[in-house]
Amino acid sequence: MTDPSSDQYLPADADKISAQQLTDTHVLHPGAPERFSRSTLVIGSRGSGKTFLLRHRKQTTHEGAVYVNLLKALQSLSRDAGLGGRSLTYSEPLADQIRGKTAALLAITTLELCSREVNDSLDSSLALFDHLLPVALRSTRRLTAANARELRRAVNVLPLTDWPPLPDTSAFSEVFGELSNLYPYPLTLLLDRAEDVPLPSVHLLTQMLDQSFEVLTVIAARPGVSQLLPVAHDPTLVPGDHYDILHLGLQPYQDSWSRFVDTAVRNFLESNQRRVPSDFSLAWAISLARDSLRDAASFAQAALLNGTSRNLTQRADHFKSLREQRLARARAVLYPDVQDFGLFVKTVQAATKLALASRSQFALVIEFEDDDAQISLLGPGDRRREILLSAIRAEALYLAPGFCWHPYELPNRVELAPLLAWNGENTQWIS
Amino acid sequence: MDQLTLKLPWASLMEAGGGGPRGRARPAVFVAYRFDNHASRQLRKELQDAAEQSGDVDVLDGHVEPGDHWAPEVRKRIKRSRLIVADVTGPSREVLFEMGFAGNKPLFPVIDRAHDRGELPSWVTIDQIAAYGGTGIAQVVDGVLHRARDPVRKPRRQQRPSPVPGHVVWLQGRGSEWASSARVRFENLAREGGLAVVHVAPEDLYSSEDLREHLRAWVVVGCIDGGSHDYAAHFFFGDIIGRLRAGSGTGAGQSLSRVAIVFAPTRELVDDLVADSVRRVERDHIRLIATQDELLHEAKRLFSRYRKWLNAGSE
Repeated sequence: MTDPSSDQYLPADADKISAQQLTDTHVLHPGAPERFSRSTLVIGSRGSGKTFLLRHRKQTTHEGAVYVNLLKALQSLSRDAGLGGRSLTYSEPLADQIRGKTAALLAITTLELCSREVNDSLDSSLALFDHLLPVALRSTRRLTAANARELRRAVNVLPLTDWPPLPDTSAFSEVFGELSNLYPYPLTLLLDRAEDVPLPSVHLLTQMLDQSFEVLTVIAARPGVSQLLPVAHDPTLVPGDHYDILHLGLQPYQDSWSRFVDTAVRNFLESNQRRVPSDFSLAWAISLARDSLRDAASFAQAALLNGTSRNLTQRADHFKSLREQRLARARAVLYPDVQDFGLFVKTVQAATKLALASRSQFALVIEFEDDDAQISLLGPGDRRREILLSAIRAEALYLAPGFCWHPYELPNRVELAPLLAWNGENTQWIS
Repeated sequence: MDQLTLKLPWASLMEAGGGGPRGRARPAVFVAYRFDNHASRQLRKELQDAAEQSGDVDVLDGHVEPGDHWAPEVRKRIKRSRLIVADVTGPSREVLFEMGFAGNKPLFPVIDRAHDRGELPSWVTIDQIAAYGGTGIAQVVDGVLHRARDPVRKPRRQQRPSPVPGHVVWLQGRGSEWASSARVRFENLAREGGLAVVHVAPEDLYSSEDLREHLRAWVVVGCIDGGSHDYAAHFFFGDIIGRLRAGSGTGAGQSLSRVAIVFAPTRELVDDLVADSVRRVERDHIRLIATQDELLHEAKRLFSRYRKWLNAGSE
């Protein structure tokens, strides 16, 4: 085991850790099923363990499941149309083309991964995709991972403007139905990073959560994805009824979450040969990180680095620097809708000055009031709604503890990120 | 961990650092008027003209351009408004729906002629209602703009009670016998699910207090058939759409979606009698039903959802 005061920070990125580390460090999320029995939308902040959860389930209870990083799989769409998950401008014809290309890319990527899983033993041809492809790309070549990869590259290269629109999702559903019949395992799709794909792509993804879509689908996204769901939503697709919602870190200050994070962080550090003294308390690091395991691991390392020297001043400087980075990011994301988010934070801190100076960490919840308007009734384009969603995406604000994410509702009670709430002076928050 | 709640106006966020590129929005009033009536349209026009002249108030209404999503757009307008001006002459199903929708927003009811009050349900007439017909329009317009600039918040006792999961209301006019056998079956189903149904005859609602009590409903079944009780039903439908969740606080298992069931004897009557506004809102929260079988199917679904919610909360 290495000296815990080693100053090399370990990145706690679930995309990058090995399968072995995944197994060694996994701890069951409170409230998360070991096995998904219904299509599920997994919502969680950055670092809350969504990717970890999906990858772990692929390795354990969902043998043969297909894990797709949607940001990577659909990258050519963002490049072609200049759209990213955070842009909402597109015309209707363009939206149809994006949906069409999304359908093709998703289907081909899935098939490529399935074929790889079973050593190219699927008995079919690429003609399976005919209804999702322009004529020029159709092929009758044998269905193998290599052929699928080649087709995927050809799809990526074809400009969006040359892509036929997707009139409805029936052809898309049929392809997956056929694939499901060919595949020797129960086909499960684990789709990650839904918040980073274009809006029309998200529309297609949400259709996959419907019970009529034969394949069990689990989609992971950050809370800000709610703005990406269609306003005129499908009345036959009811969250909670037709698919499950799993909100990770719903109660980030409850014992069950704290114990989970504590164990997960210790496992992670020890799997990277970092010794954590058993009497070393990570409680404050876990609280400050709120619902992010990634931040908790990072803060824990900071604690180990500075804790041995008992140098709280050094630790405070480190966290002030982290706070400034977070604030700068929030300012950048929210500008120009909010001219200076930093001023808002100062307003909040001024109003709670005494508590922030004297008490150990608490959840600082802000209740916005003018009238008792429910934000769920505000349509897209309403400034309050857009600002709130942006602030949540920037991790400057969070849904108040206990508020379960719902695609069509936002509360008027939010929590200021603990790191931003901290006044920089009160060392009870960092020890 | 402890929690500290700080109450702040929206402006503290939206205007941090200078009010944003759009600055502070002007106060607005939302006018719920009868599109098909000349006098009502004239009121709307006079309000608009006066507001443009003074330059400090916006006047909004429920007219939405073709192609726009009606419900979210109108919601946005109502929520932006400090005051709801409702022309209750008639009355009109559309207007009653929008009044229900407006929640606890201050209401400024108006009527064409004073003698039109006789046609209104009694629970609408408890408030002072200004008559705009004839020479009254200028006074009404002045009154509206004054209230918009300096709104008076409703006293807490007049605010609507929070909706409660499990509270089910069946609205049926005294003369609507066609709905009685459906009601009995509905109530039986509810009883099996541990729920009681409150049967309300709109004719028995004499005051706004009488009506307000029933606004706790999580589910409302409104039986419509062309009678005057349809107006109360539309008001309730609007309230459901205006306050979509039932339950105190927030969090998993702590609130349930509210639902309004529009129940009519035939599909044709559903089409004819339901306000356009009702048709254009999200189907998650409004069901248009014309047969007992559909009604009972929907009831089973809702009561099952209630049981799941109850069990989730007790874990």
